[in-house]
Amino acid sequence: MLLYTFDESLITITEAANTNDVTFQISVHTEEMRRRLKQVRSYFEDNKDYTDVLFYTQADGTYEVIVRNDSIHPFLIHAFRFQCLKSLQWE
Amino acid sequence: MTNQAIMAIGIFLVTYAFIISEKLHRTIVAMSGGILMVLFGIVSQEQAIHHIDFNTLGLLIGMMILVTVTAQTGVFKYVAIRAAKAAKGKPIHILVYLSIITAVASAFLDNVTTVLLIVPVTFSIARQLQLNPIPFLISEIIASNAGGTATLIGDPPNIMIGSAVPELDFMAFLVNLAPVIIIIMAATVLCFVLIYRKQLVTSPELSAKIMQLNERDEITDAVLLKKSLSVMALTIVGFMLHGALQLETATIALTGAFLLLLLTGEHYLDDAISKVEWNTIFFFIGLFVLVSGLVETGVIAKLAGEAINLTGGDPLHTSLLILWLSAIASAFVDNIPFVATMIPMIKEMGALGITNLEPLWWSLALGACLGGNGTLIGASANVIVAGLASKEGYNISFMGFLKVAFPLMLLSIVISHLYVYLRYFIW
Repeated sequence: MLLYTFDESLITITEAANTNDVTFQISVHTEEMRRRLKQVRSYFEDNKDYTDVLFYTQADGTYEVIVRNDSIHPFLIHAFRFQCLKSLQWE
Repeated sequence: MTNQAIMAIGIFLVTYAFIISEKLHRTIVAMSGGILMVLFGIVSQEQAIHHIDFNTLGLLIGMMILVTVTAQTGVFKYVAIRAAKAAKGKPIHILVYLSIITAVASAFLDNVTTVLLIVPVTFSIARQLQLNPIPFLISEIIASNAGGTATLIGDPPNIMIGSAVPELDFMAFLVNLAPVIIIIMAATVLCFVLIYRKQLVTSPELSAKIMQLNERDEITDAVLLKKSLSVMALTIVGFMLHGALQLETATIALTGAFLLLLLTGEHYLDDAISKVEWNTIFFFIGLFVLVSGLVETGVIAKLAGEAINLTGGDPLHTSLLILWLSAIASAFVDNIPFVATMIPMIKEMGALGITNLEPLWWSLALGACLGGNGTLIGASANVIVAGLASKEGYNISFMGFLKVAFPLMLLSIVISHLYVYLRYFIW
């Protein structure tokens, strides 16, 4: 299992498991973090898989990200790569 | 019939049987069938290459590159989410709106281009509503083929007819085909509602989530958006003027694609080239060579010639025969090689005494374009969407598509039949 932590002063992440995917509710607290999250979004929207990670921007500026079960590790790894997460470790 | 013709028919039928059975990837099957035509000496390698329509391939590749770069701006997602919000998040209304957007976009962009734009955001909206995307995808396929029929640049058969008959310019296509396409789309959308209204149901909470989406955040790069839309507009103008400019449509599309890459810089090059659907391009190549075997051995010409003999040269009967023959043939055989065969035959009929060929050309355009809706392999947009859906784990089966699309295709041809009869032979 891949565990992650994040800096709560910069970003808030909650997650809810569905049958085939996981929904992440993400709220960013700085413009820099918004830019980083957009980099993650851009990465997944630029690949040829259209349903692996789906981003939805809400009217209040928060993000809902629906991640297919088989894409959770790539999603977390790239969130870490673009510094949206503070740590990532196998347990 | 020669032995070679019989062998060509055999290879053709076996290949199509494998494509329909979906046991092997359609690109491998089509390429294998094409290669067999060459290996058995039915066509030489030079003849095979001659039959590959590089204008179509260039047009597809150019538009795929344009779409890849433009899609990165998020403008198409913006439009689709606006439509979903205008539909108040109600699935059946969204299906109607997306179908209409697809049809209108297809009239001015290549059908394949349009579905490449609309499909990704369709997946996104369908997931948000927790619905199977297949009804949306099938509706978009049918709408793209219908919308593409309305203009000279909307569908490859129209592009070919427009190229072959200089007097049929962009406005002639619009005036003659757009009215009937509006009627067909209205009837088709009504059928979509009847077919899918019970299947496409979601909760008020999920509909409300659509209403909360912020579509403005979809625009990711305003500068790129300006460049992309400018080049896209120039490309569409180029398509409108390609006859006057004496340029092939592939030249226009590739010019647009590489002008945009010139403006955006090499940063986008690798990505744009890698996102070309090469599987589809090779599927087309295989089909072109496969059909070349039937063309070179005279099978298609014989079939079409026999059909024309049946009408005794009567313009009305000939028009209607072309309409129905094109529709049924295009449902099963790629409409581009078919239209390539029919164009010289219709020209020949002009030489044989039919003075007004216009109804014949419109019948060919309507039959060949709308006929593509009949089966999953009837048109390039169908193949592309099925491929994209399959990759995402949603299988649009040949029979599943046939059950919905074939009756709708027949309905569109019945409407076209009445339109051709009333407009060109009664009024």
